[in-house]
Amino acid sequence: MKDICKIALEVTDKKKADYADIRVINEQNQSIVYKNGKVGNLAQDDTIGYGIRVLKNGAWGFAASDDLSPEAIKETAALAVTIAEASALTIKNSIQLADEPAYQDTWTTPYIINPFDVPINEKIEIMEQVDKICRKTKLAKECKVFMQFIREHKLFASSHGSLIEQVIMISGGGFKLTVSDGNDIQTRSYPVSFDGIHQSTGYEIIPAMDMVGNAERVREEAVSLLKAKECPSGIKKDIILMPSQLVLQIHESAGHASELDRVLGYEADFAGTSFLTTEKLDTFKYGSDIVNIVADSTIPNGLATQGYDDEGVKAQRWHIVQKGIHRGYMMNRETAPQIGKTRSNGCNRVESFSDIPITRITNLSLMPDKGTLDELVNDTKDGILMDTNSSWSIDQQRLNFQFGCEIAWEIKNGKIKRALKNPYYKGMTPEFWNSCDAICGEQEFKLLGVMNCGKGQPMQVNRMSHGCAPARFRKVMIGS
Amino acid sequence: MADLKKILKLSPAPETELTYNQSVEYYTRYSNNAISENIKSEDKMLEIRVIKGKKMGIASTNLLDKKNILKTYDKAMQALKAGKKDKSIIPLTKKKKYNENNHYNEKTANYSPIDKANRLKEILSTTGDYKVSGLFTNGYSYYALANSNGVNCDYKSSSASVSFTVQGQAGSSSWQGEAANIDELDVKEIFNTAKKYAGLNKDAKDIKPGKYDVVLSPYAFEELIFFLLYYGLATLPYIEKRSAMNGKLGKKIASEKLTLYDNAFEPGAGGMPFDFEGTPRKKVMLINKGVLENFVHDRRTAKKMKTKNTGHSIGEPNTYGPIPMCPVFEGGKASPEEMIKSMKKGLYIRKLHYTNVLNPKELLVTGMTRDGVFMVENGEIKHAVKNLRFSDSLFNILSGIDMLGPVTAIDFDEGWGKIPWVKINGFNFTSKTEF
Ligand SMILES: [Zn+2]
Repeated sequence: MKDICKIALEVTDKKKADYADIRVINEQNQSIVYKNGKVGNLAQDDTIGYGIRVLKNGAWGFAASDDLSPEAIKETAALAVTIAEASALTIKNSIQLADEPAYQDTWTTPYIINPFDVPINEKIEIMEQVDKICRKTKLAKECKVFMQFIREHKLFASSHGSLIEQVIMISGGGFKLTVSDGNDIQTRSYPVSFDGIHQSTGYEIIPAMDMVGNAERVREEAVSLLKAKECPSGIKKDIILMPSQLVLQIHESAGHASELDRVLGYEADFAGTSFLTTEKLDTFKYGSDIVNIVADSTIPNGLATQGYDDEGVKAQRWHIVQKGIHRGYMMNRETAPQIGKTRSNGCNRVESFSDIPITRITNLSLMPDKGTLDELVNDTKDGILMDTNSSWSIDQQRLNFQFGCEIAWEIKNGKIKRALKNPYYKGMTPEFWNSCDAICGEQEFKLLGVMNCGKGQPMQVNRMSHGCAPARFRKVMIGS
Repeated sequence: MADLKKILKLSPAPETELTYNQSVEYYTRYSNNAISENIKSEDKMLEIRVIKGKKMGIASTNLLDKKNILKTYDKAMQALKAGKKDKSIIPLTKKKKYNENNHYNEKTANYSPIDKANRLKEILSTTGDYKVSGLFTNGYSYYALANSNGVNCDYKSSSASVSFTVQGQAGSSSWQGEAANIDELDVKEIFNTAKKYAGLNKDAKDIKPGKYDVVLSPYAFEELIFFLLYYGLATLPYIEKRSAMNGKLGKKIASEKLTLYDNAFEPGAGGMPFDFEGTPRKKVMLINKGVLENFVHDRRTAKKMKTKNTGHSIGEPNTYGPIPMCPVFEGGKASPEEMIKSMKKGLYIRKLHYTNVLNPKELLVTGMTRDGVFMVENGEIKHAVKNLRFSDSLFNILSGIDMLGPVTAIDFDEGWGKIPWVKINGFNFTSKTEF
């Protein structure tokens, strides 16, 4: 892999690139879907290739290939330079990169059990047991059990002298059950929706989440939803959001809104822009005083946790929102200087070798405050508790949002009452976060995350963790 | 390209299926009046599926030398041996005749980033008070399928697209176009359309959410019918009795003005002439004058519904079942201008944004407007309106279709469809935003 880097950087140097970097990535991926009593899908992918990025005449060029022959590497590097020269035909201001030291380093995800050493039949056996318990009712229409494991071995080299080797290990799984009685269709998932929980860790996460031990409860909840009362609509209520919903709220309304490339207009034609414009930094009241939202690429088990991002910037931790005030952005080496920052905070990542690095949300969590969930419920007179995200939508500046959850429960005089189906809520981002008046303590904190965050063109799908404890929001509009 | 016949010969299994995908993409992205990302990427993937004694194994690689192919066969065989016997595994398909279909154009496949930069230079250097961003793409994809039963088919298609977002002091708008042949893209015209509506989209006013008649562009309508195609008209959820369409086959589910079929051979649209099992694609009438008439099928769903395979498999094995791939809506005679003229009071909507399903049973969908909403009164555009959130059952929305206009070819990844301009009565808006 090191030879590939050397050959490529020699060519870009000879062609007088101002800066060049290369990512060589070998990715192994195993994913199993078990559906209604059999293996529904199995993928075992093994890919390798490289992407070369070049800055010349103040503009970017990029070319990627999976042809590992020296001739192809040279050709691809030369093409990246030619493409940068083409881009330069249109630019008015040369791109400036924030400084970052050169590193020669290695970094590996800590894990106990290599998931690729665990035999497939052992994994399928767990899935089979979950499926059997879930489908012990005639109302079960579809049960899907998921497991996915990724090992990413990547090498980053730059013309500034960095050479960074990293091995990232991702493991995770979950299941969902859809039931119908002919009149209604309902779904419950475990531990969270959209293929379950994933973390940067080994196979140990699978036994730890105890899918089999939770299957019966999930089945009974799904069945009970068919006969449950509809969640009220068109009124304002106090709501408590469980982490399996709140993490999506953090992702959509704080994560994407704080991507500096969006703020600066780089995504205006596709994903959109952001209401968190640069003059709001350090002054804007994003949320109530107890709202602290922290970006952290160093937390154990985070899906975006690594030693360095994909342009060689060391992992960091900083506040996006501190005591309710907007304090930071997700940046890369190109965008940081545009708001007067001297250093990137390391959010530039790729999905695969054939992608150019783009600004991504890193691990982003709402810091816990105090108390247990029981105490929070006791303190709520008339409210609704919502659990497990099922739907999301937000406008292109990340203000007006609408979320749906799998299940909700009524809270009356501090007690949890009957379950409600089809719970939805909507609002405007700053108003919503300013209505947050309670966040549970550390003992209720959960690190969940997103495996399917799409951004960029061509679309890159990337992953990041989000953690939080249950939190309460006052007078939120519920219903569709 | 990979020599699949040669690779088949290396197989240690009695039954083998090879799937090969290759793509080359050139993406030029611009923002703030300059090219900000400019890439060429090449991807390929060979998937090996082996079957022996009602057991199956799968593995994939992008390294096509003999050593790595043998390693991948070995990995697939290990998975096969570790798995349990599965009676539901179906035999590999047999060789069938299919009609050729051509969606490949050499110039489109290899149009250079330099040529694109030169065409964009003129637009990006004369922007005045506007900030221009967007995307100009071209490239091709190649798919090949071969199996030990003698199936050996392949298909190559090219595509190009361009989009512009024009942001002015007061407001912004956007427009886009796509084609299998880059010469059919009128880049300047698309830019001028975006610029024209950016100019109109100024001093946007707050209006009360509620029911409005709307005129939707094909790109706005496409955002809605995504959920009709992949939720409502998906066959397997219907068979598994977890579909919004259960109990609705043969019944009226939309305005009688709506007719939708799937056709891989549609002139000006269409796609691969066979499905991902090598079965020839057939034209299927899905919704005829508002009545749900048929679903598309693969071998499994055809057997379950006692009907014929229509050649819509997404490949074995999968958990989703067959889906429409080249959705063609019949258009109408009205021009967009005539639709606007016909409205006493309503909204003219250029694009929708971030649509999603809230409730699969009712096909309750929500989403935002984007890049230009205009109040129409007595047939004339009066002023721009701040963006709104809509939320309604897709059945209500489709039943409200009142007028149809010209169709636009749109790339649905697995094939091209045709989407019309539409006028829909009583579209339900539930909240608003600040811009
Ligand atoms: Zn996202």
